Amino acid sequence: MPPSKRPSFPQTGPPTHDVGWLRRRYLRRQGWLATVLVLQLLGGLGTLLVSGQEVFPLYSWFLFPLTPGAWQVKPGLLLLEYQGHHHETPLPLESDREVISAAQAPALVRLAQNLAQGVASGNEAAVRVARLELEGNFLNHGAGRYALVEVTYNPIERLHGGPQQTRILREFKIGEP
Amino acid sequence: MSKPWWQTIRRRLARQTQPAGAGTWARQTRAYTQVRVLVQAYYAGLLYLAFAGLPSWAEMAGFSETGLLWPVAWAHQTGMLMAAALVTALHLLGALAAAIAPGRRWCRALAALGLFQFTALGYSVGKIGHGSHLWVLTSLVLVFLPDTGVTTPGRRQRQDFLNVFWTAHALVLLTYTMSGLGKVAGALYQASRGEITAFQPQAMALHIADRLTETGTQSPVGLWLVDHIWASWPLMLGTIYLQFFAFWAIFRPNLLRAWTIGLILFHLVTYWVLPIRFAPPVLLLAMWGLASPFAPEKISLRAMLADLPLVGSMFLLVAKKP
Repeated sequence: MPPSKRPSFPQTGPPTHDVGWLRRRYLRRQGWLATVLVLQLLGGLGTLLVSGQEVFPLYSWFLFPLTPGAWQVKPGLLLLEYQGHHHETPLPLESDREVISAAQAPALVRLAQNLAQGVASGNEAAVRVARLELEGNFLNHGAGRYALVEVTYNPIERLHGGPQQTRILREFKIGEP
Repeated sequence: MSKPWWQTIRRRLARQTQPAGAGTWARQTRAYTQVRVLVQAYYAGLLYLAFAGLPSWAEMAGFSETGLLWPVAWAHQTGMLMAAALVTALHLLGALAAAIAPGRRWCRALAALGLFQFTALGYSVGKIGHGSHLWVLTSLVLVFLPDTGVTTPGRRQRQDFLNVFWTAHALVLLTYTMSGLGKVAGALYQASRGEITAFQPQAMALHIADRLTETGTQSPVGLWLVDHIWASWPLMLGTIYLQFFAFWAIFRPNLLRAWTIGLILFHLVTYWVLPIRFAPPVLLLAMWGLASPFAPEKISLRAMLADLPLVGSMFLLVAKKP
C-alpha cells in the first residue's frame, strides 16, 4: 500500500461538493485580502496623526510631500570640539564624514529636529532622549562639545556655497547633563 | 445577489463589465504555475538580502538602547549584542527555511518574523528607514498563501493562491500611490497658502538643493538638475503621475510592465540625484512586475495608451475619429 499523502489543502468543513460553502469560504478569504489593502491605506494615513508620523511598519509614505520654500529655517548640529580636536570653524555634523557616514546623515537630521523640538517646547525629557540617541549612536568615541543651531538659508544658494545665517540655540557637552 | 464591495471596486478600476470568458481556467493554471515560481524566487531573493545584510549585525550590536522600535523593545532585557545576534540569526534561518520550502506556511511565517525583527532593530536609530518596508509588508501577506503540498489543487485553491499573491503585489503599488497622494495633497495645501508647489518648475530643484545641503551629500547629477530646471520639471511631474497612479496599474494588465519599468527608473534617478538608494524595492518590482503572470504576453501600444489614467480616455476619443 503506498504511503498516504498529505492533502495540499486541509479538507475541513462540509464535503467539497457543497458549492455554497466553498464559495462563501472563498469570498471570505477574498474579503480579508481586500481589507489588508484598506488597512494599509487607512492605517498608513492614520500614522500622520501620531507623534513621529510613523508606527513601524505602518507609514503614510508621504515622502517629500511639501516643496521647500525659497527660504528655509531648519535646525542643525555643529561640532565644536571632538576627540581632543577643537574646530576653529564649527563643523556641520552631517557633513563630517569622519564621524557621520552619508547613510547615517538622514538619521542625524531627524535627531536634530527632535532635539530642536524638545528645546523649543522646554521639554527636557525629550531633549534627554534625543541627546542619548545622538551621543550613544554617533558621538560615542570621545569627549567633546556640540551645538544645536538654527540655520536660515536659501537652498539653491547654499548648495552653491552662498550665505546662510546660523544662530546657536544651545550648547551641549557629550555625556554631561 | 449584490457583489461584495471589493469586487465592485475591482471591476470599476479594471473597466471590466463582462465576466471572464473562454480560456479562463487555462490561463489560471498557467498563472498559478508562474506565481509559484515567483514565490520561490521571492524567498531566494529574501535569502540573498539576509545574507547581504549579515555584516550590519555588528553595527546593530553597537546601537544604544534608546529609541528602540516597539517590535524589538525586548532588547532592553537582553542587551544589544545578544539582540543583534538573535535577530540576525532568526532573519537568516527564516529566509533559508522559506527558500528551501516556500510551500510551508511555518517557513514563510518564520521568514516574515525574522525580517520584521531584523528591520525593526536596524531602523531603531534616529530615523525609521523605508528601504525594506515593502519586503516586510509582502512577507507578512505571503504567510497567508495556502500551503502547497503534493496533491493538485482545485481551481478555487489555485485562485486563492493567486489572490494572495495579487494582494501582496497590489500592496507594493499602493505604497507608491500613497506617496503620490502625499505630493498632490501637499501641493494643494501649499497652493492654498500661496507657496511654491510640487507642480511648479522650480520644485524639483528646491527639493534636490534642500536635501543635498541638509544631509551634506554630493551629487553631480543633482547639481546639474538644480541649474537646469527645464530638465528637472518634467521629471518631477512624471514622478507624481507615475506614483499617484501606480495602484491603477495592478488593475490594468496592459500597463503593469511599463509602470514597473517607470518605477524602477524612478528609483535609479533618485539614487543618482539625491542620492537615496532603495535597492530592495527594485528587486521586488523587477521580479513581480516584469515577470507578472497578470500582464499579457503581447501588448499593443494602442492598448497601453488607452489604459493610461487621465489621458487614456482622450486617446480613445481621438483614435476613434475617422
